[in-house]
Amino acid sequence: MTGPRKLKAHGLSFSYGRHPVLSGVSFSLGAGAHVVLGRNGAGKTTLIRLLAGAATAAGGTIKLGEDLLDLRTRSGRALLRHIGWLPQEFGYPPHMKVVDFVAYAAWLKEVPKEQLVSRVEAALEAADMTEQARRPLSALSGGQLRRAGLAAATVADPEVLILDEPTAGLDPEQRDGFHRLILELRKTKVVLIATHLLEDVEALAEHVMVIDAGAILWTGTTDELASTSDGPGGLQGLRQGFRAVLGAAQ
Amino acid sequence: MNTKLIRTYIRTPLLVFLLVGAATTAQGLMMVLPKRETWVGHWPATSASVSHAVLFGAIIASAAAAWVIAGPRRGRFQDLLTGSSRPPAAVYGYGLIAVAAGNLVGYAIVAVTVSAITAPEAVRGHLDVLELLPVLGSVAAAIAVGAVAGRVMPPFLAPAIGGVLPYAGYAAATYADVLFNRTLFMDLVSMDYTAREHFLRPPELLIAKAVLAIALGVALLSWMLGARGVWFGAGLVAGLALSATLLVAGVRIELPATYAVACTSDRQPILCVDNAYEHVLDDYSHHIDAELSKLPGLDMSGVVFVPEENLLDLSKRHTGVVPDLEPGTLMVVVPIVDGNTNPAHSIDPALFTANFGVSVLHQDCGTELEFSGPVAYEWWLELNELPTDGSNFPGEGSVRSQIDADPNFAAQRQRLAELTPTQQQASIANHWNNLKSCATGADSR
Repeated sequence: MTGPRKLKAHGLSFSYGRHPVLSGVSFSLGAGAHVVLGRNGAGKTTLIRLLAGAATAAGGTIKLGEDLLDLRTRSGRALLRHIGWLPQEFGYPPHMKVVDFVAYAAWLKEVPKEQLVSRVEAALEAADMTEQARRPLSALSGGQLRRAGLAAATVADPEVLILDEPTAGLDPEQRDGFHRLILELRKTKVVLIATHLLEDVEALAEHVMVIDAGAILWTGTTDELASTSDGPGGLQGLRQGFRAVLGAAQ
Repeated sequence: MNTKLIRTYIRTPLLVFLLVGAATTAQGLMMVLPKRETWVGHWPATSASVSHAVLFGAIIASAAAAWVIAGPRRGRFQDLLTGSSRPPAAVYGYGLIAVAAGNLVGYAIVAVTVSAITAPEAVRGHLDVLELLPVLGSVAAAIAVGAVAGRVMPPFLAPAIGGVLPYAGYAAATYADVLFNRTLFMDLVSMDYTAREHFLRPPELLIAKAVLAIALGVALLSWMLGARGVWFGAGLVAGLALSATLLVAGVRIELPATYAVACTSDRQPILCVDNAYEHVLDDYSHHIDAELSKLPGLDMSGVVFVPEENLLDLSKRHTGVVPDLEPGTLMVVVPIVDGNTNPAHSIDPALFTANFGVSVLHQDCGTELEFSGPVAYEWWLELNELPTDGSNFPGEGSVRSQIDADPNFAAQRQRLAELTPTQQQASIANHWNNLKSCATGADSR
């Protein structure tokens, strides 16, 4: 079984009017969990939106393997079939049931008709949402809603899974459950998580990119991040390492 | 799960289709049917009447398209759609197609309904498909305008703004034509209120403005959905179509043959109508006979009833032909009109009765007669249980007030009232015969 193709960004830049948000962002990510770590306003969400096809970069390229993501062409846009995305602001069609929502996501990702039912069932099961499949989205708890979103993001069995602040607003128990799902998914996919929560980094990441002011400041493993400071390991070490990286840049 | 999943895809568009279809049909019928006298039995007018459904039909289509396109922003799930591997045209297409289909089906039902009403009455012709082309075009244009509103306007306001835009366009065209005192901009819109009895809109105009509306719609939609190549091509076609439309805007092709007069040949009195109203001839004959049956003893020899004063002159001018009427024939004009005294294609019984009374009895003669016109007319209105306060048709005037104000008229009314019904009928018949003798010299041909 071959693994997922690499997600490659090269020289990505983006600005809102005259205000640059990203500049010269480059990386290449293989299978596993990768975290984009940064403060609020660092450019995490913008980077995620570019990778998910929700916005077009002013400069630079995004490739999956050797295929170029280009929203202006049919073949370039078709690449989004292999990229699943759970946005930070997770809206949903009102009154839609979970199963309908996941099926709609499958349609949007061009899942072949003959595979639709099995894919929807598999995604719901993987997200532990089979029992809630017939419930309307509006009746779900925050954690269930995130899991429904994850089912929608994975229904097309993407090679790349992009999660923007996936555990924001979840209680510790819900967060643990979500972590378990992602740990399973990272075995076979490129999982890219944007977060400012070090708990997520500690629980999920094998590889960390620290982003600030639209540029990647540092990249390495979680252990390497913790060791950039002289502090203890674990969550405290990550916190001190993160501060050290940001401090070194200023 | 299969059935449920299939329903996922079709449920919302199906609902949109049904709602838009029902709304378009309902408003279309409400716009067209109450004015059936302006088109019934006459195919060109019937064909053109379908476009009257566009005024509010376009509002419905535009508002619905705005609602569909603004939906993801309204529900804050647009990110779900922007991450789709399908092109935006496919993602939003189903909703817009549902709106278009609903709108088209609504117009089709209106067209079928008016055709079904006209077909039994008409003596010639058929539904003119060319007249329906601008209606078809309006669907594309209205949906595109609404879709753009749905894309750029605040999501909760978008349907209202989208709904207002087609009407604003129509109002602007009307205002511009009034401002420049010519028919130009109104010919850019799909609605066409030009009478079709004696005129034809150039086929080039109907085709050009349909192409203009469709190309404009496609250009706007493709611009909104990011299909640049289509946008450029459609914009080019729209520009060419605009030029063509402006070139023929305001043109009406006169149809001389429609002025040709057709008369009954086997009855007295003779009845004549022109070609455009030939389908009313039987009904006209029926109503004239019904009115005359209330007035036994009237001498109708040498009398011709016509619905239009200039009927024979217009026929002579446009066709060079006039009916072969004997010298001394008296022409009596009993118009076929709607409530606003515009020429109509169907007869309103009460209105016709009142007009018949005016034309036959409410006349003056150079010499003094037993009864004056107002007195005879008031008697006629009361005989038919019609109001005498001037409310039968615009400009009628209150015959009751007129008589009350004149002692001579009041005395005549009193004299007439004192007679038995049979005597009254005999007196009125005598009044008509006197009028006829009086008028034959001056108002005859």
